[in-house]
Order: sequence, then structure tokens, then C-alpha cells
Amino acid sequence: MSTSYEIHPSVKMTQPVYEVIGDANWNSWNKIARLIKHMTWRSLASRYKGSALGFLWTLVNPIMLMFVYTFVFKIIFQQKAAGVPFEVYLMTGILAWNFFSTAAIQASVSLVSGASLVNKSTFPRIVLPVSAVLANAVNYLVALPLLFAFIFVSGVRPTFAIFLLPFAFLLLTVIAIGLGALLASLMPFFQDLQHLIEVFFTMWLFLTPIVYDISLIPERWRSWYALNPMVGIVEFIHTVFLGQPLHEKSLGISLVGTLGILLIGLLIFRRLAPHCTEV
Amino acid sequence: MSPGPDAILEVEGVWRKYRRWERRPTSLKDAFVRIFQRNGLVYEDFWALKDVSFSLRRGEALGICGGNGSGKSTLLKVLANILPMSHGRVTVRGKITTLLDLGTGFLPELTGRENIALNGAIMGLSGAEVASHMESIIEFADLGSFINSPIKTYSAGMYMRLGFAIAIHVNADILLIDEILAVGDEEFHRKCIPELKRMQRNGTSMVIASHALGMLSELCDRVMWLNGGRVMMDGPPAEVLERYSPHLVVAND
Repeated sequence: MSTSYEIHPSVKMTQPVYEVIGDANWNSWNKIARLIKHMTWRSLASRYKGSALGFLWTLVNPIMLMFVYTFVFKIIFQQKAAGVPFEVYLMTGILAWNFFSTAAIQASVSLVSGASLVNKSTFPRIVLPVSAVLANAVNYLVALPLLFAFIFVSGVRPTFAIFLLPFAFLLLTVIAIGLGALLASLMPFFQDLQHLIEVFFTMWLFLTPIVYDISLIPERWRSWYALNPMVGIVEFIHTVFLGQPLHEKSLGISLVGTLGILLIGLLIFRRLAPHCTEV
Repeated sequence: MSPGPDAILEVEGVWRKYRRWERRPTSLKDAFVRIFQRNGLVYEDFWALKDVSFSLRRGEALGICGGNGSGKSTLLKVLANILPMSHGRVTVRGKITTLLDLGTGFLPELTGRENIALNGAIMGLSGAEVASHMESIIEFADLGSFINSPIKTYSAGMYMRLGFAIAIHVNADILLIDEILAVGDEEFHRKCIPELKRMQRNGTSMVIASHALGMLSELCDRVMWLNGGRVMMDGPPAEVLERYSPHLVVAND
């Protein structure tokens, strides 16, 4: 289908080689880490600078969500969770889910919305989705004291599992980066993906034990259900904050799924991101 | 054009292809529908760069002239590795910095000082480098007390001076400049051109794409004329520009 008649047949076509000898610009992880830090700060600053309440806005969103979801799922649908008040169960899962989904969605548009930057400068593109996720990680950490206060007031006492929080946080961050990088590299080529992604994440929310207890899923479907890597992560979040029993099997699936998504995401990103300005 | 040992940039047989779609699919839905249509996925390859070769010595300034769509910007982006090339080889012996746009990545809500730190990071400066150049950048940009105000309050001139000041403090071996010098006013030129000349004397190589022929002959040791992605001529500014100028007049008619 293509016409390459412009090329003179005597020209030997070689694979392109771009080689930097000596002091390249992005040769150290330090510089890349520094840029990630700055870009994270940039996306936080662009959201909060010039708004009077600043970081308090990060807390308004989860508080409002808590009222709405508690009303709908506890009072209307009469949901219950094993051993803990339902609103605490709900809040713990919703905060983690919000971090994950907002981070992945914002990362997925990072190449498109950063097009002017991508088009004019040479920094490694992966910085964009990673810093979009990290900005949301900061927001999540800022909201955590509120969650702890809420858990405490509800009469739930933390167990030693709370020390696993850094690991749970890392899992959420890594899966968001993997998925964000994957979607970000496809987004420039298919702009309607953005609408699909939002629907997709809403469906995904309901396939994860957040607004209901996992015991409501019939036993015979449980093993299929747990193939969703977010199931194990959210169960683990419930273990960490509320001392619920640990499900090693679904956590194991999540671990493998998370690393798989990260690997695939980074590979596809490396393949497609250089071409993102061509469309 | 024999690439000697002092060549800091070597470009050998670079080709760059763009795919020009008859009707380019821009969405999943579109791409899906096209698969089932006759002639749904028709495209034509368009070569924006054809067999471009040159080499650049340390401290040498190469100007690039040519009409719109001649491949000037594509060449700069290929040199910076912003765009992948289709065929060919680029060898860089040093650090490249781009000045393709002034103030890329500036955030209007941040102050001048904060934007210097941010932009420095985008350009690949370390924290120590930013700190050591901070005062000199502020002085060159001539911002006075505005340095601690959000840059949305800056005039266009202040904005450009700040972007330029950061880029020239990167201490690059090769500076790629695209049409930047065309946008500024007289005062901006009076500030920037001597600075670029000073950098050339200190060994910085430059590739400058511009429509402003006077500027090219003032700043460059050599000029390359691109037409339809091909190198038409590469030589001393006076000779190349003399041959190129008649084409410019015709193109403007």
C-alpha cells in the first residue's frame, strides 16, 4: 500500500541508529528521579496553587464520597462487612480505589496533555505518567490521617498488620504506573479511548470488593473473581487497616498481576511513546 | 564534509518518513470501521528528510534555511532524538540542549524562581547546577523584583528572556535553535545574539533553523539549504544565501 518511490534504489537502507558518546543529557537515574519529583510537584501545584483551601480540597472529596456511599450502600442496600462497621470498610476501600483509578486515568492522558512539552524537549517520556501517579500518591497519603481518625472513632483498633501499609501502598502505586503507562502510550493514537477508560474503571470498581463484602460473591465464581488483580490488593488493604484475615492466594495473584501489568506497560510505552508526537 | 575527529555531531544518510493518511483514523471506532471498508486504510509515505548528511565541528554554528515544509524542524527534532528517524545514523559526542520554543513547561501559577527550578529539571540540570546558575539566570533575564511573582504576571518579553536564560545556562555542547530568534523584538535580539556569539567562542556548537537570513549570516559559520527534505547546498553563508534568496522571492509571490 505504501509508495517509497522517492528512495533511489542505490541508497542502502539501514536501521536507524542514534548514538550518544560521552556525557549524554539523561545519563543518570538521579536526574530522572529529580525530574519526576519536580513534575509531581508541578501537577500538584497546578491543582492547588491559587485555590484558597489548597490541600484541604484533597480531603473534601473523600468526605463527601463517604456520606454518599454510606447512605446508598449501608442505609439503602443494607450492606454489611465481617467484623467491622460497614462505613469503615467502605471508606478504606474507596480511598485506595480512588487513588488507583484517578492516578491511572490521569497518567493515561499525560502524554496527550503534555504534548507541547513532549514535542519540544528531550527528557524521558516515562516521567509524565509516573509523576501523574505520584501526585495522586501524595494526595492519598495526605488523606490517610483522616482515614485513621475515622477508623479510630468507629471503634476499630489497628492490628500489627498496619505495618504492612508501605507494601500495600507500593502495590497500588506500581499497578497504577503500569496501567497508566500502557494506556498513555495508546491514547495519542486513539482519542476515544478516554471515554472507554472511564466506563471501564467504573465497571472495574463494581468487580472489586469495595462497596460490598466478598462473601456475597458465590463460592463457585470466587476463583474467577480473584483473577482481577485489584481484588487481592483491596482485600489486602482491608487486612492492613481493619485487621481482616489475609487471603494469601488472591494477594499472590495480585502480586503477579501487578508486576505483569508493569512489565507490559513499560514495554509498550517504550515501543510507542517515541511515536506519540506523529499523530 | 569528511567527519574528522573533532566532529561533535555526525549525521549520515538520515531519512524520515511520515505516513500521510487519505483519511487518518483518529479513534478506535474509526480504526475498527476502516478495516471493513474498501480503501479504508489508504496512506501514502511522505519523506520529510531525504538522505541528509553533514557533520558539525566543536564551536561551529550551522544555519539551516529553507521554505515552510522543507524539513528544518523535523531535522532539529531528529537531531535531539525527539522524533525517531526512519533510516540513517546520528552520532552525538556531547550534550544536546534544545531551544525549540521559549518557556516550554512553564507553569503560570509558579513564580519565576520556581519555574527556573522546574525548567532546569526538564532540561536535565542537577539541583546543584540550578542553584549555582540561579542568580546568573535571574540577572540575564533582567526580571528584578518580578522573580518572586507568578509568571502569569510577566510581560511577553520577560517570559522569553527567562526561557532563553535557562536554556543558555545548561552548558550544552550542542544547542539546537528553531525560529526562536524570529519571535523576539529588537531589544531581545540585542541581548541574545551577543550571548550566542560568546557561547560559540567558548566552544558551543549550534544548529540554527531560521527564516531570518540576516541573522543566519550574522551567527553562522556555515549554512545548509534544505528543500523538500533534501540538502540543496551546504557551504559559507554568503554563497548559500545568495543562491537561496531568489527562491525565497519566488516563493513569496
